[in-house]
Amino acid sequence: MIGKLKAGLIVGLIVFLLFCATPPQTPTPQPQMPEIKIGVLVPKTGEFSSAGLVMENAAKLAEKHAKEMGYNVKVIIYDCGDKPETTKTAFLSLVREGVTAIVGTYSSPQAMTAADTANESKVVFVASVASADLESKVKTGNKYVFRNAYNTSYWGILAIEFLEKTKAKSYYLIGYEPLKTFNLGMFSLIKNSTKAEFRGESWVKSPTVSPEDYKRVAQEVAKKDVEVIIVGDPGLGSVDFVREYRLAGGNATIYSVGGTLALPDILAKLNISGIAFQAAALEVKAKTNLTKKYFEDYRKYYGTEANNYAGILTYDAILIVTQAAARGGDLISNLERGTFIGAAGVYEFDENHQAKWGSEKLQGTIGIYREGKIQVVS
Amino acid sequence: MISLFFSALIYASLALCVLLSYRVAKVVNLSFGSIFTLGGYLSVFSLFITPIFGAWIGLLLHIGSKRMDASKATIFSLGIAIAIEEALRILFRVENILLDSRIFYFFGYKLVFEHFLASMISATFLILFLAFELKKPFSRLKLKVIEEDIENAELYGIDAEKARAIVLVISSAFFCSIGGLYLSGRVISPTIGWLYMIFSLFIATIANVFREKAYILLLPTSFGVCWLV
Repeated sequence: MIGKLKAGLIVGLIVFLLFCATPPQTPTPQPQMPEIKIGVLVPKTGEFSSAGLVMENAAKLAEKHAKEMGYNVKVIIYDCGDKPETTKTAFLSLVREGVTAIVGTYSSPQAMTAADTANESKVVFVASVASADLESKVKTGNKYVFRNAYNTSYWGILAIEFLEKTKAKSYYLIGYEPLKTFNLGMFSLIKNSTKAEFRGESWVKSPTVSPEDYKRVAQEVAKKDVEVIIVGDPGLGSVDFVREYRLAGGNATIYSVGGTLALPDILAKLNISGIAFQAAALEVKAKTNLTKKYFEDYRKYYGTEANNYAGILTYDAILIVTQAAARGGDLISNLERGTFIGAAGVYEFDENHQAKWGSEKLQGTIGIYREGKIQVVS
Repeated sequence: MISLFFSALIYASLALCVLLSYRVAKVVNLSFGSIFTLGGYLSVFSLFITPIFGAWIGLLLHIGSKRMDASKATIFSLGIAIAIEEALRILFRVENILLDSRIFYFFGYKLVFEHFLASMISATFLILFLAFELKKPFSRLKLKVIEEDIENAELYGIDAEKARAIVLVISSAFFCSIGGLYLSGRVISPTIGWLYMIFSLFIATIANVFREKAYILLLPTSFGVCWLV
């Protein structure tokens, strides 16, 4: 009897020790999780190469952060240039690499081509920058395309919000020809939905055709009596335009779609008051626990301020696909039904696969550079 | 109008460099774009080092491509361009650098001082070259013989290789210096110089149609193109 009791005690002790020795369950992904390969289309060459560099940096940062979260992710970056044809070639090359999904591209024509190629190759594509009418692709049966960036309407909504918040009485539009599809869509919404008076529009030619065209437009616009100038170029040319506009004597408030003119170090060095801009997120207004991490780590690893549109949304697109793919099963259903945390907010997709920008947990930010610092307008 | 004239002066002098490289050195020098960008990055440290670095790259291009035919030399210059671009990416890492600039008043016009200086240097460069063209018939004849046929030039005892080296060194130094000045006040990236090179190439191509009169017609061509586009 005592022997049986002893044996029972020993077995019980062994079971107890084994129980204690079992490592605690980690809440999220298992180390054995299959690798999630994500392709990223980045315009490393061509007209949008300055944006391409920030997208590439952001993509590498997303891979690093996803790994830190325990996901087994591999990001493969391909140059998609600045044309639809080069985008298609790069897209198909990524498909051959066996990626789970592809994110990125920059201009609208590139995103439209990538959406069609996604449908042909049955690989999910998440547009992280372009505002082209991708919803119509989904409506006509292309279920492989999603967008975590703004659509054209949201770009317009933010500009209108700025005009209303500042009670502007008049505005002038400056388009950028290489981004004509995006600018025209945004301008049309602004013209139809604001009470402020429209005083005209001018277009800056592609710098490859005329590197000095911003001077002509800036000098022409400086003569106009207008309160707000809405600039549709997110690239380096917007800085040239602003400088030339002020040199020519223009004093209107400038509302930029963001990009280069939303970078704190550029604004500080330029030191021109009255430059407003939209951003998917700003460091001073954290949306999730990833916002601060994104801005801090970007500065730490790349030695410069993080881009708060093309960069942050490419970063978020990678995290969205990672979270959806890690849930297992059908990626499209996971994206359609899930909620995903990014640095710019909490993403959900509507029936047209468009991220619900303007919802409570996902809103763009408008900032303005005034008296040497960035102030949040909304 | 005044800024158009200053821009035309700069592009005319850059186009002169492109044209000389093509006609004398027998190379469509595609590294000019990156040399221009390099000038911008070097101006962060000092404007005075820009011609030295430019000249050094021009010499490198000459040494590396002197035994090559025109097409191979052009591809070699593209290789140099890519190497400079990548070096800038590695060394500077950051994607956007806004270069300092100073404001200058010229007859009531507000201008960027460095751009004004670039225009004045360009004007001097053009005047000096035209003076060389018009006042030194023997030197001009030597240049013409080299432009037409290098082998013939060597038969006449002209040192075509020396002329090639001089053209590549001076034109590269000039591109680098103008890049340092003209990119002031702008946000630069490693690829920004391509825009200026392509535009200069465009002006040089149009001027080249006028054969012997090409050098003299560079400024009107540049002014016309700048005004049209």
